[in-house]
Amino acid sequence: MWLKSFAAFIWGLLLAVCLALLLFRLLPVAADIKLFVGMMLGFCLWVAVMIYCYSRNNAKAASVVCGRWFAVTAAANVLLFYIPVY
Amino acid sequence: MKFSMNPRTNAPHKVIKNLVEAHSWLGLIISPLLFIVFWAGAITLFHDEIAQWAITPHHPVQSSQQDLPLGNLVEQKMAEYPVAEDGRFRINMPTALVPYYIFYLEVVDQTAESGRLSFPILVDPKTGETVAGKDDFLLSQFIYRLHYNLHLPGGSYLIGMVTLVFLFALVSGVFIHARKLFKHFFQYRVDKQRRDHLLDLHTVVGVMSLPFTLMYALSGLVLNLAIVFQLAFATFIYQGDQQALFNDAGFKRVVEPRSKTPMAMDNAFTLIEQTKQQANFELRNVIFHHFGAENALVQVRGTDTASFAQRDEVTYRVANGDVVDKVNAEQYNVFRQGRDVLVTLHFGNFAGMDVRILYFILAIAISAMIVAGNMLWINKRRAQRQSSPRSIAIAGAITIGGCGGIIVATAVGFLCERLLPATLAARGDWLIASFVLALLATMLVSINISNIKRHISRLLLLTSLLLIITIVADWLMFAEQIITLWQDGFTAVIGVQVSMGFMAAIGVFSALKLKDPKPMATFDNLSNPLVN
Repeated sequence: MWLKSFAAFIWGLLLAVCLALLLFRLLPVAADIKLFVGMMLGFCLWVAVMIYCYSRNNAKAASVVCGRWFAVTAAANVLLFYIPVY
Repeated sequence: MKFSMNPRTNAPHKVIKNLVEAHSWLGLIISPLLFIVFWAGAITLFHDEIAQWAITPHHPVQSSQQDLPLGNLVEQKMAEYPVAEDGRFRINMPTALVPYYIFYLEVVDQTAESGRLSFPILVDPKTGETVAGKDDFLLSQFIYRLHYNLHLPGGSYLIGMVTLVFLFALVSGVFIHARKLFKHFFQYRVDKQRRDHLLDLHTVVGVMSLPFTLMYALSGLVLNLAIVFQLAFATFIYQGDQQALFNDAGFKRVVEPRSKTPMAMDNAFTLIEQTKQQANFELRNVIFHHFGAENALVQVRGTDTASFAQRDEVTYRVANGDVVDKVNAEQYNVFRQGRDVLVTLHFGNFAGMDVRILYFILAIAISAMIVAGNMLWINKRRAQRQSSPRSIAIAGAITIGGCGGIIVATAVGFLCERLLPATLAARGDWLIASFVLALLATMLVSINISNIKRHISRLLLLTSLLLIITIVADWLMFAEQIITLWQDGFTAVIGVQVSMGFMAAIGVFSALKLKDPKPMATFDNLSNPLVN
């Protein structure tokens, strides 16, 4: 359970941050709206990923799927990092 | 190299079983802290009432007298203390519940590392006298700090993590009970022959309070763990420029250096008075930036009483009265407004006493749900022969000693707040020490208890006794003042006494019920699976 908890926490944090950042880059609304939506959705995503990880039979199975999603979202963030937003 | 465990080729994931395990395991780990959060949060709903109960009998305010002008009071305090004028300081206005100004001064102190010391004081608006240090009457503030940071450095992040796990427990609970969520919505089996009262209590309270708990978990995360996204946004979006992020989030800061030319501040108090006269404006506090300098600013902060969770703020340049910044129902920042809505919902201070009483009942019910959840875990483990007796004993001591200890310690806190002399040096520290000692002592006597029902009954009786002693001490020490305060409209003093009496009565009633020989749901006679 400790391993699964570690995976759930870390993958939840990384994916939530990556997706919140992506949302900020892509949403065509004012910065204050994007910040609020990003933060609220970020927490929800964090818990959603935790739910996913804990629902798997082991930490490795959860990590394989989350790792792939992280690779995709992180790559998208890296690409978008060079586009100024403010 | 291939993965040896491809998730698609393995045995199917037992989603609900895995979630049940995680729900109970994580729930048990966070339960002592979560209990503190909800218990302290329930009491914090009446923070100002408790502050009035604690302070006003020592320092009654003469309602018949006129308030002194704020400008005179500020001038007086500036002369009284070595106030560090550069930077900023805040003054909270007196309210119907806490009838004193709170001056958050910073004084010059060479012994402090930064050369200055935070020095918050309570000031009588009628006489200008410094009534006490803000932390001299610490009880209400201590319980509030327990709620959000356990009164520990870095505690707010720890509570943030507990809140995250709490949100996980809520969502996983919904998954676990999804099929029966609506079908069994009103089910609470009162048949005394049944042995699943604890499970029903845990589930029914969890389901019924779901909107409330979801709101609390999300708003708690925003209050305690927003730093995570703040850092991410500041680093990857704003490329390290924190101030730009704060500006976009509606937290603008003055970054001007202090002017060396002095200036009289009379105009600041005229501007405050003018702002106070606006319709639907309730003044909460004022903040001075660079007080006494040519580039001084005054921020007048209040609430729009005609709207929900709407702050009404204006920042003036004192020299010419120009408006530097304004926030109200027409000009607002979505991030800050959204946060304000969540904070208002979190504190329940938007619809009078009724809503706070409802919040209080819900928070106490959730505290009971937490204890019931732990008991379910312990009973389940007891039914499994291979379970370690040591882990069961530890979980039992944490549940009974920790949760029971907090309840006893709170009653000790109330008694100490009343009995400790108002002039005692480091009064707040004495109160904290008494609280912690009571908590530790209860935890110690709760280890290896053979008859848990009898033990809980004794703890409840002890708590009730402490509360009754507090009420008696109130009247023995301050009978005359309490009656005068009541006549002057400070009804919270007697209100808190009535609440303590009511809690004591519930404690005695529950203790007597626990002594009842009829079968009840306890550790000793329960062994149910978590999912029925």
